[in-house]
Amino acid sequence: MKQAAVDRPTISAWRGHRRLVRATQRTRYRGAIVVGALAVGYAFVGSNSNLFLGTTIFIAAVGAIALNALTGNLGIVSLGQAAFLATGAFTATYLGGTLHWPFLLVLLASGVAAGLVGGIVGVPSLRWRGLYIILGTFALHYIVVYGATKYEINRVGPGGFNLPPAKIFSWTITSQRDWYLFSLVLVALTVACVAKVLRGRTGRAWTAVRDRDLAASITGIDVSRAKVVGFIATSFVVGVAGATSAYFVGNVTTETFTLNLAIQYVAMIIIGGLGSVPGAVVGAAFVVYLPHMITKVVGLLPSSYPLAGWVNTNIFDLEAGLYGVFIILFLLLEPGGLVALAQRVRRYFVSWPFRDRGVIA
Amino acid sequence: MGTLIGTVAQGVALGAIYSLVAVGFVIIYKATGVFNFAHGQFMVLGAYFAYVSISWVGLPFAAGIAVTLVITGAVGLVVYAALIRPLLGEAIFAPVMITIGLSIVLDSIISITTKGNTYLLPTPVPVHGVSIPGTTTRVSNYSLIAIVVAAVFFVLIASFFRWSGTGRDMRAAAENPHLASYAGVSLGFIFSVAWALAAVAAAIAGIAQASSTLISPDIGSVALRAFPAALLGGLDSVMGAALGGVLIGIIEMLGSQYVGSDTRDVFPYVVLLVALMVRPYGLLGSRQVDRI
Repeated sequence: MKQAAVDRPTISAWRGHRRLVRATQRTRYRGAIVVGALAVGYAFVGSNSNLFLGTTIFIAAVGAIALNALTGNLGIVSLGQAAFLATGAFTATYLGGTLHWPFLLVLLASGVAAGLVGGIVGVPSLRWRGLYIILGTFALHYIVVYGATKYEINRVGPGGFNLPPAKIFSWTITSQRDWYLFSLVLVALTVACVAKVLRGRTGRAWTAVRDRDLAASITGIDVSRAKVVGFIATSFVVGVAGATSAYFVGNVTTETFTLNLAIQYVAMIIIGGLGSVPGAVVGAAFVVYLPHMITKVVGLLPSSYPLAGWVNTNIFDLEAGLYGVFIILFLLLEPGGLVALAQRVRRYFVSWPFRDRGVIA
Repeated sequence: MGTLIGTVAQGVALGAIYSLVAVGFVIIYKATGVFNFAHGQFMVLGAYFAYVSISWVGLPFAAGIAVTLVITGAVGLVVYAALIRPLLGEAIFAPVMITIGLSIVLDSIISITTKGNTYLLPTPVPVHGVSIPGTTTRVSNYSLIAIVVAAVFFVLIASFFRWSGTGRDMRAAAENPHLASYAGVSLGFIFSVAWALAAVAAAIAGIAQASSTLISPDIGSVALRAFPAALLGGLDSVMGAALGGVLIGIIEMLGSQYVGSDTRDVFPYVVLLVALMVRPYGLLGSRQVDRI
């Protein structure tokens, strides 16, 4: 058989490649800076209700980024998101509400508490694979929520815990704009850290574990360590998000932390794009904004239109069901999520008038 | 002592329904490797279909149940063909998440069409049952019927897998889909049968549950508590589902009797987590071996 000619990378080709990588990185940073600047600018023009929405999206995005790293990059599907959020939030009620620790310290400690819980599930999950991990986190959800419910009933009753206003040194975060800016900083920090970790050695190890853990272990990656560290690190971030959200809302009850909440986060990363940091942010925005979108769309319909009345009477069920529809549609039609969809659209225009077949040259 | 026997008896009755639900998970998992999170919604659909065909259409009880089983089986087929089939062969994540999405969608469809109303399934047998000798516990007729139905169903399904041609093909396909398909087993057919069969099992469980309570979307939550049953028994073992179901039922009733009635939501999961740490593949499940 004739040996196929192998393209050896020449020095100049290597240089060209480096130039290309640097150029891509530059565009990426430039994009991030532009988006960040726009988001900061919006704090000074947006209405209070929109800033509230923005804050909700940002806090959700922090949790979604962490879940996406765990699921999309490390390949561990978790239905325990609500449990980790609850751990963070309830730690915050104790440390911040009862012991009056300073806000930032409470955030850190809540993250540590959630990270501990993550470690507790992470270790036994080493023996499980695939489906069993999903169901293990599912069991975790019920156990944590049960514990939190007991705790809540014994201490304060069904009204839940109230939290003091968040205060960083002498700056009290009170107005919607303050909260918007604080959560924006938090999300920017999360994006930067998680993107950095994922692009480095750890991230590559995680991807290898996700794609084939046995093969990864043969190449010298400590699979157990990757999984446990992944669980702990992502749970930490989710715990911080839970605590932040607790302060933002000002009240914590277990009723918030349903299985549906955990599924909503999974919906965020599926819709946004598995394994993509910007995807998690976009997905969080999409899922949080979805109910408002329905209301907006219905508002456009003339009220005499027969469907409008039907939609209005069933608005809660529609809101509850619609993200299920989106989960199904994205998994069937665009498993890469909105990020992949955007790339597809972009490629279409870039390669116009030629038909792009999605092959990366 | 009397309380203990009574509690165990109630646990077995509860466990009968759990095993009916769990066997649905097992059938689908064995065939397609997917865990069906929408199983609880299949139960609810079954119960509502039974109500419609008996109370609205006016069919006799047995005929109504038969029609219900056929319709729910068809729903299972449609779900398989529309949602699961396109994703087979991909990472386990996608089809499992599809069933989660489906459960959300079905929940809201059920809630919109029934407007949250609950109904009473007209049943031919009176509710009051027999008391267990030597105890004060009464077991309702429906619990007894549930136990009998579950027992009959398990005998049928075990014989089906053991002796029928399709059942043998299904076992072959579960063991090694590629080899089975080379030997002429139609995988598409096997998978469709599995989904239809599981939906039928769900409908039976839904009707069994609904006949002792009301028909409401809540009966789907039984499926959430049957997850541990399926896993405890071993996700790929039909008899494991029966065993796991009964065990979880007994544990749940014992827990609520002796520890506190609010523990019943969490006890099965604690047992599950502990059991999974000791035997990650369940009591009767087969151990997975990784080959490079």
